[in-house]
Amino acid sequence: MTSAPTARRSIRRRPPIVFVALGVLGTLIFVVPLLGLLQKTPWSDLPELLTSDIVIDALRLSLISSVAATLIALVLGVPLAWLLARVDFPGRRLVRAVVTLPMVLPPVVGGAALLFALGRRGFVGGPIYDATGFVLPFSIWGVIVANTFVAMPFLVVTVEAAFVNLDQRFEGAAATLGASRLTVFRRVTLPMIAPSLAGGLVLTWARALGEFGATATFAGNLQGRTQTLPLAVFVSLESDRGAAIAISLVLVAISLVVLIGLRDRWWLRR
Amino acid sequence: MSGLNAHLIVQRGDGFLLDVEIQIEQGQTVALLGPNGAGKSTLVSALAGLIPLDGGRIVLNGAVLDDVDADVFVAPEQRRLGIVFQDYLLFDHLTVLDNIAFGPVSRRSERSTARRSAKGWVDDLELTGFEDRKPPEISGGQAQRVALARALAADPELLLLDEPLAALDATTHVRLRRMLGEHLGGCRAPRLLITHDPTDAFLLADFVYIVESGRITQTGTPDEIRRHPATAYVADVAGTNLFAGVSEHGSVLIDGTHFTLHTADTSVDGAVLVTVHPRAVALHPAEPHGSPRNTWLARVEGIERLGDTTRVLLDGPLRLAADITPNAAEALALQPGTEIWAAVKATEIGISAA
Repeated sequence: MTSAPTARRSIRRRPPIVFVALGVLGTLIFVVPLLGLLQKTPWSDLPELLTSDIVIDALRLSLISSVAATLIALVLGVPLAWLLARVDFPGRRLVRAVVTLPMVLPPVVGGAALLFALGRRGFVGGPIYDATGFVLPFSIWGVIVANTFVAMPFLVVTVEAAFVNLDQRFEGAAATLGASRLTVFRRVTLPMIAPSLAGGLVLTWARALGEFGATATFAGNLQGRTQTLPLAVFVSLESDRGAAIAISLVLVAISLVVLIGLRDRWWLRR
Repeated sequence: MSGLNAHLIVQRGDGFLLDVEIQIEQGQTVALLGPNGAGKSTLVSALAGLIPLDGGRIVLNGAVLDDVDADVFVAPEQRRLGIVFQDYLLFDHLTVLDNIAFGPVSRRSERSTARRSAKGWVDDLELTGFEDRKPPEISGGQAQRVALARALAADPELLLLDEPLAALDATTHVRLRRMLGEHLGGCRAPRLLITHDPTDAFLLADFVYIVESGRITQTGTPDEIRRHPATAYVADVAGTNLFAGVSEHGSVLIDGTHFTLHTADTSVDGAVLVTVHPRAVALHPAEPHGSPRNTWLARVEGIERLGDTTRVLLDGPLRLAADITPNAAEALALQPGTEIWAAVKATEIGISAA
């Protein structure tokens, strides 16, 4: 290892003016809408708006369903990612394509597909309803399923890449020390991919929190039952603009806190 | 039957074929010495069970670990091997102590017992004070000792050292080789040292296998190998001075020089390979008189200390290495550039048809 120089000459070269101009323009695309939001915010009514029933209900529902979807993605997505990365089974490419499809599919289409399969008349939902009377759509379970459908691919993709990039010789070394395959996974593989796993979980959770289309289609828009924050924003825009802005601010705040808090720690490890 | 008995045949995807037989007794250190690309890593993987054999069998202390004909394959975690990997493969997310305790913990001993035995290895390998550090926070030499401790703490039935000293700088290399030698003695299991460094092989091993291009080309004690290298590679790495020349009645004109070596062996004429063991080269401050048939004035090019001998590299009409005792080197006040007389008896010069 070379020791870092104690003092370093800093040579500042002016960045190309074209880059600066385009970069500023690019930043404005994101800054202007935020300013629009802040500019229209009824600051004095904010405390009242934030504690209104529609906001509290949506916030509670959003947090529960996004966290639940993230946990499901963790439990199902990590083994799936491992299989995709490590086992050369027939149809692997097809499975990978299907699993990542929701990343490019319009969420409304995803929601409709979920409805056709899991709805009361769906080929999976029908028998379940006949046997138990349980209906998945238009309930919080429907919200969670819709969130999982749309968000889990982000976890699978991130974690699969981590499994692929992991130097498998470390797992071999652990095996020669007597560790069973599950022990190797628990004590070596998972800790070694932890940064990617954390990044994938954050992405997944953020995607679930912002989910709109699939939820609206599959779970509906019932306040207190299936109306998450994004749906509440959409509804309030018609009826109560102040409430819509307040909810939007809540979403912006949550997103910024998470991004700023985690980005430096996990995504930009230089 | 105790110890390792292995016949390893592995056909790699790139067409490379490894086919070697190895026997190691309890408490014996065998070195597998070969150039890069000889198949040494493949052999380690096969012994460890990380790749299956394509032919042959591995028997360790009477238990079959892999046998193609009998269709037996024991998974890596069921083989009791301690492996020191070339780049150590320490677990960066675990402390030094937890790295060392990894084997015992994995074999389901109580975590507290495992940590206690790991602590013993920490003390033995002079790692005290570093237990709670993570591998990225320790030096290369310390990492090598952690890797050795981790392998030994697993109480292996076979200790496999894959280029354990290759990643170290020269000074650390020599120090850790000595330490490794001391600790190998304390392990009763058969020990296999994989290396491309002849000095490591000759100093640490009781017996040496030379492997080239997937085959064993020579076996013997370090001394036998050094005295009678069977291939150009062995002669080269063993430090034996090897020259090509043309012989006529025992006088060999060395290719590329105007220098003639005289040998007692007059049976071969024509193109020959000449070997001169470094220990057969005597050094004198003044021109020696009497028996040696070959004497010449040489210049010291370099001096290397190799364990209990000093190797002097000579330049002059003939470039070759001489091994003398450190005391002799001191008495001769050798320095790079010193002019010195070299002498080799005619009976010490080996010759074979090229």
